[in-house]
Amino acid sequence: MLKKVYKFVVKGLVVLSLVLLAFGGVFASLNVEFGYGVVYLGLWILLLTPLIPVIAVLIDSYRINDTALVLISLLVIGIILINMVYYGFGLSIPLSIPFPLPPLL
Amino acid sequence: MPISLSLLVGLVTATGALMGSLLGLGGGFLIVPLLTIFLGIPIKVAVALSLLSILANSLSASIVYVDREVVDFRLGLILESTTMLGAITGANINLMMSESVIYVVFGLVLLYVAYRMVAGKKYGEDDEGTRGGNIYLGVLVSYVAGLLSGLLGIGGGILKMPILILLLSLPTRVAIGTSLFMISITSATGTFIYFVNGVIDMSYAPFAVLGASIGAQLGSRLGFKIEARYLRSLFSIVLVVFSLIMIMRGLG
Repeated sequence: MLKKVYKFVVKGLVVLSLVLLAFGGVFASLNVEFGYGVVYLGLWILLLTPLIPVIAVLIDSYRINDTALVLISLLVIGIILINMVYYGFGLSIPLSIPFPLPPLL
Repeated sequence: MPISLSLLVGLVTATGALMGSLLGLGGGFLIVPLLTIFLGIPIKVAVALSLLSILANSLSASIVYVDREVVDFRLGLILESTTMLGAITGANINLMMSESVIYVVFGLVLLYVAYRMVAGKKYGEDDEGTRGGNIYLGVLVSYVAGLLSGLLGIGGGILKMPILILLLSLPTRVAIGTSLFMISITSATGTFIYFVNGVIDMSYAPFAVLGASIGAQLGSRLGFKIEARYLRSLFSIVLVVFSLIMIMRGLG
């Protein structure tokens, strides 16, 4: 499953983000208004793409025959990812880690 | 922001990524000095742009290794739990630190990288490894790798590879693939901190990413045609010069 996730989903998202960045960058340089918006979208997609395989491993984790160390690691990563997404969209977070980050919106 | 400067940023990241790809380094060690020394970009912005460039490249490169089934996701995630924490810490330290201190720290790390290029252990592609070693020490050192990544805008492979190969005895191919998988997550984490703090210049960001992607692709194709051994010696000298310039800038 992970191989397919990488091959199709991750690859597709990387290509999409590069295309958006290319078009957005050109439009922004020409002072076209929505150019920066397209750049933002491309950046967000690029930033969140590494989460996809991590989530895939989390879902797949019951197959990992391993110690508590793996489960604790997945928990730590999961908490960080949730914080990143919630902070990034300016929402109040359910699980608190003290980040000195202002809300994005 | 003049488009010419944005194009120059793209050219610089392309050069950094190309040379990094030829030398087996992440581009960060070259991108940050090139942006600060030649284009006068503030070092914090250069670090953020470098991390963004590394993110795009490592994602693309890791797809190849996943396809070859040489990525140890389990081990990568264990190590990545502390690497991500290190990257968050490093990026936040960068935001609080004065630019002069960042220059000095970067310069010192560059000196170490220059030394490793000529005198460090070379990892043979066919090294099979035995798997094992002290995972807890690996987790601890991974935090330091993440810290350096977030602080200086580098991929962290300079520490991750020794952790995976020397400390945890992974086969070299698996270490490379796993390291790339880890670097994509680490760089995304560090980039995110800079992104939400408004450090990433949106005028430069697209050109930085696209330049680095093109440079890395060219580097991977040229890598088969150029003898990297001679480039390493030459570039270790270049890195020493860059490191001295950055240290002197930091010391005023």
